Amino acid sequence: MNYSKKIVLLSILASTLLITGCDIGDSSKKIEEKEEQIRDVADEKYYKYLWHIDSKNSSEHKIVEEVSNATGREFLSEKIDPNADINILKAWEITKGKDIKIAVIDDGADVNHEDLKANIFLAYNVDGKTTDIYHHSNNITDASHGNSCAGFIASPINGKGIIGIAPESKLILIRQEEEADSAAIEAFEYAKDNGAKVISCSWGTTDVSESVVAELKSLYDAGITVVFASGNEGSSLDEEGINDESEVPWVIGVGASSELNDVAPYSNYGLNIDVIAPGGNHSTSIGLLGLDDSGTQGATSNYGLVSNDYAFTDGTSFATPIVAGVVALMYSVNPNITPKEVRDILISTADKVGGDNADYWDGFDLERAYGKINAFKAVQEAQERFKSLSSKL
Amino acid sequence: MAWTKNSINGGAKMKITLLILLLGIFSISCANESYYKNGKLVELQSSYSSRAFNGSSIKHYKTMSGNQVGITDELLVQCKELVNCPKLLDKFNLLNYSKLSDKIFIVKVENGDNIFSISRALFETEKVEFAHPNFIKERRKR
Repeated sequence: MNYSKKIVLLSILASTLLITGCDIGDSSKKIEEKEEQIRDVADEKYYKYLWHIDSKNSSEHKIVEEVSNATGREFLSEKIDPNADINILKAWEITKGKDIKIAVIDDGADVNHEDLKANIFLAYNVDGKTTDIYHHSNNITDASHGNSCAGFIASPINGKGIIGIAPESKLILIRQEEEADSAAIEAFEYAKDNGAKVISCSWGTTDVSESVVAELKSLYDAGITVVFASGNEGSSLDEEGINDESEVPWVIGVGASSELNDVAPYSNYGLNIDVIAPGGNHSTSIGLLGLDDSGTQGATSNYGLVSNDYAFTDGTSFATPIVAGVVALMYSVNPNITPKEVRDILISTADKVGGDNADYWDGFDLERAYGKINAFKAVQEAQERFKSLSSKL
Repeated sequence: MAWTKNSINGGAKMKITLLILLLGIFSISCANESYYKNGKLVELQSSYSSRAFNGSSIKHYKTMSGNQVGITDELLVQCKELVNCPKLLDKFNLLNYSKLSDKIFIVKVENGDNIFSISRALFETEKVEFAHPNFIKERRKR
């Protein structure tokens, strides 16, 4: 073997080793990803408190009793109804919303939160035109609104605390506190331009402007589903003079359901609200467990049962990201789905909760709208429509 | 005393005249504080003036349903299909504008006091879908 042949052989050997080495790296990464995927959701640190995800488990763990014992508070509702969740575990057997982009327009968020950072795609501050969206609650006794909204959508399955409804989706976090119509439109445009398929809005004015309605229509036409919270006054939005964002025909209007698997008494309602979803009821039960500010700033509403980074909370604000998460799952199994189809499916697959207290007429009850969302049925229907469309092509 | 009485009468007359004049001015100014929403004229009641916003001062108004809204010197305008919006804005000597979206323009009105009359005039051309002030509304977290 001459010298030049030796060099060629050595080069081949080196290349092979290099390639093999890379393969080993890739393989271990893949294994890690696989492990992440198959991690049992029940291993999540605070899983037992996530009644909106697995109410049967929460009910069995008697979490209301636990909180009552820990705080000395007596709750009017001592139980979690075993059917209070949204049937999400079965939906996750189909999809976890991988890489679907969801925008949250709110008061900012803690981008370094342990249960958020892995799924943040973009952060933008409309007010300052920067990427700095950090915001902590003004009062230490308030849970962080923006963190909670984002976490209910996309907290990853990482064992650290809670799980979002679409735990493999990606968040576009938009901080917008400026109250001009133009700022809202700018926030919506940012979400659209950066690929959001779903936009979650846990706020409202009760006096929506024509320009904002026009923007919502343009998002609808562009195939983006916008979800709005109905509000927490327990009142009708059909009163004269109220024109709320949640009532606009181009959005999904969301009310809240409680631990008792019925509409929460504080949830605003009306003829143009579409569905309800778990929002909890902090005044009579434990509420939903969501993300708070990290560290001592988040030392609120944790009952000494969870770390400062988490808090029990309630409101239509949090029912809304839960619906947004389900919508993201629907997009992940049916990329062609339109906002109209999303609404049709959500309302046609909703569970008619309320028992004898409800009065559904043509599928609609004034306080409970078309009922409580059922994630599995909604995702399954979205998937079937896609399969049916694909088979026709 | 007659002097006093006459003086009071004269003063009272003047006061009444002044009051009528003020009421007239007030009602005219109120009538001017209106814009079109969904094709209908909506009146606003002047409330108070307050803080600065993006270099402009905000005037606060109350809607007929009791909501507070703030208004600066900006309009939001969307033209109807096939209307050349920049050309329309130029006609109204509205030269300071930019696009907020594919269809919506944000327009700075040089003399902010005319914001309502310009918004109405734009709407009355029948070439716009809407032309309303860039409202500042209380946004409640839920």
